Amino acid sequence: MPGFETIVRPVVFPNIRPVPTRSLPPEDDPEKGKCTIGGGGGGIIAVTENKSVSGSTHNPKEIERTVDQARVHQKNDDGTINEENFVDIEVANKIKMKVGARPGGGTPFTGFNGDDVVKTTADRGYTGDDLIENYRYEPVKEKDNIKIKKKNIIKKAESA
Amino acid sequence: MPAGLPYFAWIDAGETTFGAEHMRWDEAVFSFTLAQEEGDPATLTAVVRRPVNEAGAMVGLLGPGRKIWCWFALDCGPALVKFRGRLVGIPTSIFEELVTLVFVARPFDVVAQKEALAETLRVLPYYDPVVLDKERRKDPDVVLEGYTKIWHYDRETHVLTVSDEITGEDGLVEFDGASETGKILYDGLGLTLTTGPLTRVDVSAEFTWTQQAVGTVDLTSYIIGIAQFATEGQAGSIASYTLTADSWPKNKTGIGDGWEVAEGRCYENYDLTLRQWTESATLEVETGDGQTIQATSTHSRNSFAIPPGSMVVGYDIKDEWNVSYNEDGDATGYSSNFSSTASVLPLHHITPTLVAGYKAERQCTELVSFSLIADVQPILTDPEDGEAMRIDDVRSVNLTEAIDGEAPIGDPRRRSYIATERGNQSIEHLIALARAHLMKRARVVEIAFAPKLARMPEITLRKNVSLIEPRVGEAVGKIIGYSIALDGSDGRVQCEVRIGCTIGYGGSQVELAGTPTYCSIDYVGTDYQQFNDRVVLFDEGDTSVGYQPPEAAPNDDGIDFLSALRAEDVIDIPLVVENPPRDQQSYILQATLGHTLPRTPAADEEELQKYYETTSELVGAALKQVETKLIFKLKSMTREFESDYELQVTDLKIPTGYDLEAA
Repeated sequence: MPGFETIVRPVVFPNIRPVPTRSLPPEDDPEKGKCTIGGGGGGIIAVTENKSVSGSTHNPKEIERTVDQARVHQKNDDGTINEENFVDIEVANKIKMKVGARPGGGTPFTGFNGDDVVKTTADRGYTGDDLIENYRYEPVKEKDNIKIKKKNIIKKAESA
Repeated sequence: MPAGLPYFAWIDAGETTFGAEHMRWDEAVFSFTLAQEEGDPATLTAVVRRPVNEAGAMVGLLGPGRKIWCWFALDCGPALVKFRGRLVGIPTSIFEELVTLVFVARPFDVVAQKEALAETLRVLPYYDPVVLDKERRKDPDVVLEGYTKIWHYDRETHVLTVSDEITGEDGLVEFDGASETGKILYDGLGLTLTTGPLTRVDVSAEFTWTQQAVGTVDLTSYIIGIAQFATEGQAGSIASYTLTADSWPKNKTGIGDGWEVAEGRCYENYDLTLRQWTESATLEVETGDGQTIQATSTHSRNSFAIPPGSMVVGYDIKDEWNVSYNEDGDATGYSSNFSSTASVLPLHHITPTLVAGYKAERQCTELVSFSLIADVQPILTDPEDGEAMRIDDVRSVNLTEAIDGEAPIGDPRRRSYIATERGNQSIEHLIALARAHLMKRARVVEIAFAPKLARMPEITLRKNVSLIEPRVGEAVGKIIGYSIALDGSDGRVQCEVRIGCTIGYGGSQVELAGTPTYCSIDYVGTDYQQFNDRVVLFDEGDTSVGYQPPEAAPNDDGIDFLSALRAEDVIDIPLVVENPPRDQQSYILQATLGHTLPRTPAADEEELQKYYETTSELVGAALKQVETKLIFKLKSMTREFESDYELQVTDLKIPTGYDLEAA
């Protein structure tokens, strides 16, 4: 019909379809997406050990002694005293010793003959690193053949 | 009134109902042609005497105030053929005595009617929005793509409907060739083959969606299961001279395509922190001459918990002692010094946790193809020469995107679309597309005949005609056009009806339940399992074609996001351990072979220091060459997949409108 009306037959246009959203799938790269767990951590650790031992002997020096002077007569076999024959002796009742440097924390030296050591600080005590120790002994006693001539004579060592 | 008398009445647009008052002659109709073609509105071409006013002067037909609508009726005897139309265009021969007026029975609101009607036709499987561009979904003409229907304009009511091109909705007009009214006129009979039938339609379509999923997979057991054995590690641990707890991947670290660490933890089984230890003591040293010397001892160590398997790569010992004497030969002092340094390369025993998180965005495409073959009578001597059509431009939108609030894929984690119920509907739509083409093209035989005028009121384009006529035999076809014409010069009324007849063999497809592959249908229903040899009709109300619903067979990497994923499900390339401790140890020993101090103990601190430095450099360089690596690949979360589906479709059964073999 030659007219002005629109032809209304359904016309399906080619562009009714959605536009392609994809291309051909790419080949999967086996190397792509690999997970590698590793690390250059770790290394040498130095382990050290030290052991040192040191020590020295102690030689106390006498610096002063206190003595009693006594005369000892000969005593005969029958118990009589020979006044003509005698010897004079000095018996120490106290000796002052310079011990020297003490090892820290160590055990105190024992005295001569097992006597106890009595520390004193009477006149000198610790001076610097020096330690002065006094050793006391039983004083000499008078007997029938022993006469005390003089007591408590102080003698100093030459180098004291 | 006598048959053949035409009426013509100018009317207002609102006079939509024909009444007796319209049986008048507002114009003197000299001749007319009333015709309607399939898909078009009816037209009336009337030649009338040029209108004049009461004074006898010519009037303009398109002048203001003039009515442009008309009711036209033709008395056919038993009933009237009626037409309501509006004047279109410019009358021709306007200066002649006779003018030609053209009227069309097209409604003013055709767009609104079409849109309203189209809305009712947007029904699966004939209309599938997923294969339409979003902008074109509301196009009413697109809606008929899958139907064998065409628009129909009622010439009286102007109601727009659709009519099937094979089977009319309003019944059958029979011309039996025997009864008086069932006979057609001898003249005017014609049979033509409009074209060869379409015998096959090859359809290929692609359905695309973005497979989306988010979740985690615990890889700890998988990794330890392999790495512990390979590295000869302790139970639940991995051993290495280079792989430390610190180097274990942290949270958010990418570990693959679409993968990252959701939870990464690791700890060293052994505390490698260097610790200082010092001890002092006083002891007595026998000098050998019966005396003892009070001495102090200091012992210090800088060490750590050395793990089993660690290597000592350098060692130095210095052991010295000295006794001093006075002039008397008495021992007065004693000193000794022992020092050792060992370069230890610890073997790290690590206990890791690795939970991998994924975010899948994978483009999936299913390529569906099938050939629908029409069961039609051959026109050509060699049926192989039959025409085939290819529909290969069908593609979907992204099925993950919602259409009317719902994503066609449903759950975006799915691996297959066409195997779903919705996907089956898309397949059925493809079949509907092919079916529509084959059905329309099967209407090869076109028969034109001239019925008696009395039968014309029965004729509409929504009906079929059954024609029995000695020259053509029997034919059944859809009315595709008609016309009634009166030529005023001879007063003869000429009627013509044209029908399109399909040349199929008839018959119908039947639904086959198929053989269930798992258990009886009664037990779980038809939607639960897969079937062999199952045939489903493409539409419940149509038995022309069926198909076998495809089974999901995605050509992907096998990940089923709908189930809980295990490490085995997501491993693409299995874990391998490069340079386990045993290899590292061999390499380091080889690299440091012959590297020793010139003398033991070292001559001085400088020599010792240099020895340590070179040892460290040698070992460090060697370790770089043989770092322990755990290498594996997780399946990509951004890959694209393409799966091909070759559908099994039955032949298309087409009605036998005309039997060419019997003609």
